[in-house]
Amino acid sequence: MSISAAHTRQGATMDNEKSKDIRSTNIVAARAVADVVRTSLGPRGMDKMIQDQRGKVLITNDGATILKQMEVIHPTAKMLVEISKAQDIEAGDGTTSVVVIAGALLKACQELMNKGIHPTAISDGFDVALTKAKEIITGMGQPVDLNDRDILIQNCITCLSSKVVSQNSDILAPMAVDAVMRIIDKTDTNVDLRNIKVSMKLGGTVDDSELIDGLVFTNNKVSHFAGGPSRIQDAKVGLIQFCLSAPKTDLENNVVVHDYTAMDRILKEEKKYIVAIVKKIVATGCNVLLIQKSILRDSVNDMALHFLAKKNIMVIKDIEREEVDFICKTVNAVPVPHIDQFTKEKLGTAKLVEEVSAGSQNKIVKVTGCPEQNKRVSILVRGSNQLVLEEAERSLHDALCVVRALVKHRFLVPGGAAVEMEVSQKLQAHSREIFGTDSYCVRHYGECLELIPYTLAENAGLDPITFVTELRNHHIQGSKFDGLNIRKNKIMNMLEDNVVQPSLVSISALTLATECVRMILKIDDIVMTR
Amino acid sequence: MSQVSIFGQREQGQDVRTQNILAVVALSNIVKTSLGPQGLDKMLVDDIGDVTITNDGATILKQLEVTHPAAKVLVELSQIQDREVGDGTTSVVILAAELLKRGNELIKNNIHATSVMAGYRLALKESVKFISSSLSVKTDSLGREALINAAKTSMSSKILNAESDFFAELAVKAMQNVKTVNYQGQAKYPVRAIHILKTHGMSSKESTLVDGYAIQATRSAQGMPTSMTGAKIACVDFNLNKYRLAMGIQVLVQDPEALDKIRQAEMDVCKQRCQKIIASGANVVLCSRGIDDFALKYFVEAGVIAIRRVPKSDLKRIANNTGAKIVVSLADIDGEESYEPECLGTCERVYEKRVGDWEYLFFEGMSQTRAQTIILRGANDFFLDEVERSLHDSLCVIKRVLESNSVVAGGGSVEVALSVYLDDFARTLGSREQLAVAEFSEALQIIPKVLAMNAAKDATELLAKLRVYHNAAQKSDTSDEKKQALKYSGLELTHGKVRNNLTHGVIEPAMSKVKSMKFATEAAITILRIDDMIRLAAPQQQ
Repeated sequence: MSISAAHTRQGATMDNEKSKDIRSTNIVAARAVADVVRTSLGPRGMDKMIQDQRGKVLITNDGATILKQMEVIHPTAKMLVEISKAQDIEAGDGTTSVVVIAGALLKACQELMNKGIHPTAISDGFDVALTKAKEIITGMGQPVDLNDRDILIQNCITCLSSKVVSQNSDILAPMAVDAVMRIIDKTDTNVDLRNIKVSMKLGGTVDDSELIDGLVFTNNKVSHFAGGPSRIQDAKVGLIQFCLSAPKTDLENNVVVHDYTAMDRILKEEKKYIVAIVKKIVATGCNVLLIQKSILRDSVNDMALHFLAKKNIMVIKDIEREEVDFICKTVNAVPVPHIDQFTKEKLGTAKLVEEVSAGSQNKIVKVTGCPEQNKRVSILVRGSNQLVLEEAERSLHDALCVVRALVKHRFLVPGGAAVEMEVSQKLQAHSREIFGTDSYCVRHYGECLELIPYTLAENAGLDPITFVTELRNHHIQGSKFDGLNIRKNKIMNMLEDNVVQPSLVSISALTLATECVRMILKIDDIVMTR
Repeated sequence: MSQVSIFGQREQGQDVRTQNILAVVALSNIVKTSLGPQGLDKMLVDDIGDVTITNDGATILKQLEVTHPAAKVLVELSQIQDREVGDGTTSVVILAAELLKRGNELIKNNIHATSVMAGYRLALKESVKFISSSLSVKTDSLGREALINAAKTSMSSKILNAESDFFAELAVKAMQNVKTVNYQGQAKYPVRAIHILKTHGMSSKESTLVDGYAIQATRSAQGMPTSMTGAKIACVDFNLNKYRLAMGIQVLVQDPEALDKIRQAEMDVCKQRCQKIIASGANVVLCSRGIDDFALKYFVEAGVIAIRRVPKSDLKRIANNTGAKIVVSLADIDGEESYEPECLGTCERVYEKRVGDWEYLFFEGMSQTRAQTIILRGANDFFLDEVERSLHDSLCVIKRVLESNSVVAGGGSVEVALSVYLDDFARTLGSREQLAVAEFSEALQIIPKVLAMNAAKDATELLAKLRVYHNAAQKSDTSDEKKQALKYSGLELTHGKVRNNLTHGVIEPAMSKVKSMKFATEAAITILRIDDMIRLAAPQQQ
């Protein structure tokens, strides 16, 4: 602690008074963040337009993205941004709800503190509530069979329903499901989403997006410089990490020419050098050559392209370093760092490598028919403008995460705030069976979860009080799968109506929100240091 | 409720929506007056003083440097319409702005934004269905006439209006000549295969269509022949200059004689290359880079036409069309240098001709595909630029008609028909979407309204009459042919009348209408969904 900070602390009024203030400012700041994203919750939620420091515009509905872009100042507000990010990583979906729940819990804290309950006691009480809530959600969970494609698609549709691209969910949802199903074994308990490469290309509409069983290059064009081929069947793909150009001398060194015969030699040597490399490449039987980007010199020079074109070898250059791993695993190739190591065994295979036009001037390269066992797929997202395109990509990521959540934890729960309402009801009932401060805390915890159905109804332009009270009534009478169907504007059994979400999303949202709130509660001082 | 503290400004709710829509409407007002055959042009002067005079919505909006983020969405909208369809860039912006304006009014009247969007989507779906089911006409039944009419319709709003007969004929002919069939057996009409050259002087009526390719270039030396039949073309993409050693190679000589020899060797390398090209049988050499004067000597001696500094894009197209291969290096796999005769392209005749003040080199009878070149003439550069843009639009329209094979009547006919149809459709809906669908139908009328207004005609009266006709058509029996034909009624703007636009040859490709409605609705929905706007402050410069 710095000296000046210590000094101000001494000068401050009574410690007790101060810690109360700190807590309430913390809570106010955090709740303000929750209020920002509240309007974008649910299928009828609105979007935010964010213009960043450099004037770039972003339109999104994704809680995590909104908060990440917003650059909040208050340190406690930042904690809420963090849990949204954590939810994005853990479950991928529900990034808005987690923040809204945290905001609601904080409000409950304020009320409890006003009653004179000690923050630590509240924190413990919330822990009790959380444990109980998890039990309730687990009890509601319906087992999922990963072979049931339809139910997985329904999960994705629920997730996509709140996005700009919701009307394209009939295309994106099956795509997300198929992509994940392609890359996992039926026994896997986790999905590495890095095995699905999502690429974006401007032009067309979202409907033109496609799942590609292999690779797609959106930025690397086939080099037509010397008129090489643009379509190759039964491709043998080689990936090289060295340069196909004449070596340069070190900066300080020079080649010195004394007479004209030496000039001739220089000319010939360069040619010989490249011819030798090209000959080796040809000898391996490679017909599609991917060249990693090099910052030191031209990764491939005119002459090399000329030779390769002559030998009917397709050249795709400027492959990014980060892409190499994915590419190699997809086509079964081994990256070659030096020409001497370039052998037949290092080549990958694909049925077809083809350059296709996307829009009037753009071209993309598709590599399809890669070996089955590799379990790598690519998704090409299209969109009519940059804003829609980026939002479509974010939405697709959410959908993929939903499928992943189901693979991790094969249970689903009804959507449309049915879970929140059920937990709320059960917790309030449970609070009457226990004693002490815990009882108070559990009851408040339960009550504040009603904010989710309330917000859903509010965002859909319905009367929230009517709907929440009616929904509560349904749950008390035991129809525990009832939720708010925003499309039809009525309360119904969500399982029957196929509005479902992975139970992992709900559990993780509650856990993260509660933990974050407990942490905020325990802070009783902020010390600014330099 | 407390505000969250961020570095920047934040606006919420209705404020944002109103502000966005204000910006969008302002933008659409700019292009509004340029819609339709009687629309007027805009003169745009950019920051370096370059002048553009145009009537093309996409071009106007591109030149305006719009900063408002919502308005930018609209600019992109016209850009995408330009790319995907090529025509209708003004109407798409006007329609989107009108949809937004009306949507905002509904929201102000406490209808939730989501209901408005759902209604718009529904209306769009119905419209697209209705266009394809009853408004579009197959071009097979109309023949070549349809192509010319579609081209004329697209030109009618442009500077070419007066000479539309002439240019429509030109454009259709060019387009039909470039037909190619791809490996899937589909007929394609690449607009890019038509090369447009601009030369000022003479009147626009002197513009000509050349069956072949032309580039603005001249022989490198006067001694070369001006024409060549049975041309063998070499496309070369490297320097035919004195050979220069690469960086990092130093030349150190002790006696002056060696210096001379090195100079000689530099020239020899180039000389050998020239001779190798000539030896392959080439009699026309196109080089994208420089050719040294001394090297020209060898070409002149061999009676070869050599042209230097041919733009790379032209070189590529000539290579494609003549079957030539662009050669980037003479090196062959044995480490020697050679020029292979199979890299040569063939062409019946290559000749140089003077058009206006410039020399042009014409390539006729190319062996692979038939390229077309249109040489535009006109009074000045602004005029020529605008003619080129208009012609490009028309070419795109012809392409769409040829590829999609169906057209709709123009002159506001489709919009009014849809408006009448959606009005009735709205009344069958018992939900909140009803209002939004009704507003969508109202919004569509903006197009005929602006058309009439720009022509200084009584918009209200004309529109009323048009609606009556369309109503009669839609209510009538399918067997009543006379009444059914009323569904092609549209505006005639010179005299301010309503007539059957299909028989009068005012037609547009159906696909262009469908796409522009789709794009406009999408854009409107994107903007309506926004209820919060966060502008982050620029980082402080340290």
